[in-house]
Amino acid sequence: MIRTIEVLFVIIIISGAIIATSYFTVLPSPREVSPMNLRRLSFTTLQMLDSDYDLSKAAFETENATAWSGLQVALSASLPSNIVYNLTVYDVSDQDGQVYNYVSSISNAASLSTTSEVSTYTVASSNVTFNVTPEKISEGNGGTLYILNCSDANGWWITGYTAQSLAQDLYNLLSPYFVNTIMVQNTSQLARILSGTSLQGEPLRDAVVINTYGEAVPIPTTYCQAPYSQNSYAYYSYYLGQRVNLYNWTWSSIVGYPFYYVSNTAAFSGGQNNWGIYGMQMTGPGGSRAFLEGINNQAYVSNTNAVTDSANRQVIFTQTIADLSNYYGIYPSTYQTSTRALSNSTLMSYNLRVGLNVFNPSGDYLAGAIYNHYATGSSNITGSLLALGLTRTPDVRVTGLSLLSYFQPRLYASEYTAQGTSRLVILQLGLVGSG
Amino acid sequence: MGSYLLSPLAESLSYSTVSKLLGINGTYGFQLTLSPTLTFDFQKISDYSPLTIQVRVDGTGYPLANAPLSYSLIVVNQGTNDYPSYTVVNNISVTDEAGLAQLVFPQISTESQSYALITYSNLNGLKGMGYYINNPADFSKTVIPLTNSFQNRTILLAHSDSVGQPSQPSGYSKLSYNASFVILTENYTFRQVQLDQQNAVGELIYGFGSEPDYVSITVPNNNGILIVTYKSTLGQCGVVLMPWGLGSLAIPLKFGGNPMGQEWVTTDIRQVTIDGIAYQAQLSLWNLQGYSRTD
Repeated sequence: MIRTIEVLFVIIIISGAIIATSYFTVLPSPREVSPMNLRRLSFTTLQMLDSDYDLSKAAFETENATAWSGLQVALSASLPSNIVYNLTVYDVSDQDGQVYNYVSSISNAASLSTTSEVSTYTVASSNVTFNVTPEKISEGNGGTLYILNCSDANGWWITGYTAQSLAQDLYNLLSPYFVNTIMVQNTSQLARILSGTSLQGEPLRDAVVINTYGEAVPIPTTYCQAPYSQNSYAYYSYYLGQRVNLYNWTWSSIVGYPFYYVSNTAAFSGGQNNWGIYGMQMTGPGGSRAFLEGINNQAYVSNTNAVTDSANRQVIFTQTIADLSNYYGIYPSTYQTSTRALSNSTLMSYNLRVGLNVFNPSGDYLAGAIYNHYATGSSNITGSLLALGLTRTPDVRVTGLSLLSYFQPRLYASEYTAQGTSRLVILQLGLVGSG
Repeated sequence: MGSYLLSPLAESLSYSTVSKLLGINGTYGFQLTLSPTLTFDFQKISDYSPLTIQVRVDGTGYPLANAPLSYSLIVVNQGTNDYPSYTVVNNISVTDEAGLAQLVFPQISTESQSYALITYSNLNGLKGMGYYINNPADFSKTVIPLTNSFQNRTILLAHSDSVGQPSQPSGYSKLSYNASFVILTENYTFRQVQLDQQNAVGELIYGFGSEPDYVSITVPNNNGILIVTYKSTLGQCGVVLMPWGLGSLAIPLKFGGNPMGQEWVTTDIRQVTIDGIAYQAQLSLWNLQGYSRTD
């Protein structure tokens, strides 16, 4: 009997303890177990308010009551009604030894609850422009860019463009990278630089020459005669190769078969290129061969063997070019069509070595490359050729990117932390009724 | 009524499929809600001569006071043309302290005039839009745009009698329509993009032999609004809008299960921008297996 009473007492005590514990034990609310991420809400709110740089403007116009009133309304309207906020702006500077200096703040509550989170957002003044200063190519040792813009010549395989419009695009693209960028306005000016006379006192040696006429090359009137007229003016291309070698130029062919035509609208006014473009004379494959003989400084021999197999290829930029495309901010299509890829082995027989592959090689054929000429036994470059054997019509961004990737001028960004140009915005959010 | 965003089931993902893809099927439930931060409420003060509409702009926590309001009224030209065109009237206004603005349109002279009003507001980066469509109350026929393929950007324009569960109304009905596509410019006006295709203008015939009562059109590669004006054989006109891109008409979206009645629902909110319109993305998550304390 006593045992039974004892057991009953134990049951009563244990039950009482369980009931008492359950009464005083309160499970936490979901909000406490998994609270709303106020920090992320705060940050995305600041991002949203700055989507059109309105927050950046307001942070630098703290005396403008209209701008700050608008900011306050936008903040109040964009946040849920159970959230209070405090937005504070600090100036970022190193004056008086303090990096962050209070500027102004707005809030919709006297004080935020203990359950609050903050996020920060740095804004820049709209008055500040961040410049990038490019390094000049071959500064102190050349640094001249010649762009052929001859008014008395016609182009081929540049259909849809004019050589003059391409020249202007190339000028806009590349002139920041060169000490001197000179538009060669007519074939008379071309004759002057070919004879070694500068146009504006610029260094002639080590220059880059871009032929914007596609498969045609402008020819000065004074060269429209023997001996340059030999073999349908192939000898003129030979002479060009010699000049490239002599002045260590980098000759750039932007599209198609290089040196396939010559053009002078006055001298060839009655002649056309077999495709209805007047002022032009077809040289044929002998033009490229003659140029290669010229750059290799060998005797001229007429050779009309092709330097390309004219196969249709889809080619892709090399990894180097793709990477530098990001660096220079020039984005032509990574994939291009090539039907005039040059034979590498053929060019090597003229002492030319690949200085830069623009596209991944396709067997022996290179759709785009910069070739450097080295005389036998020499380690010095004596003339270069950029040949882009792509199919018409040309994208001159490929030319620009190829040259920049070859010379690789550095870009110097201006100082970001210029004094008084940055402000720090802190948005503190709190939940009403918590904590 | 007057705006549609309908897509075929074959082009959509179901809640259960998404749960399986997320690897939470049977363990957690969720609901994703995308709600425009700003809501626009339209109230007609007078129906015509002039039409006066009061617009109320509210944020999630506070009215949008003293905010610029740009608006465009698309008025259907109800002349003799079988394929009705429209005229756009653009203007700007400002909301008052309570987020209210009254818009007056003397161009609307009859109650039966069809029109659509589209409003935009942008205050310190907080952008929103709303719309109001008016079609004659006794004109039940309409054109319903249906998304056919997101990938190919094709939309089917169907006669309303042919859409929905059987049984459809019997009898012959013809609607002549004129479809156009507009995109929003930076100053909150519309720029029309030519729908250069044969089906941009045509007829939808219901109850006439084996002829299809729908046509397919392709929209341009931009987010914008498809505007279809139409006319019945009795001369009644109407207008419908369809957004191409969620933010084009600030359409809200709700996807997932129902958190009502679930225990331990946790939620999180982010501010996002969709097609330039401020939205709040809210994710609610709950455990489907109950909860227990683990030590």
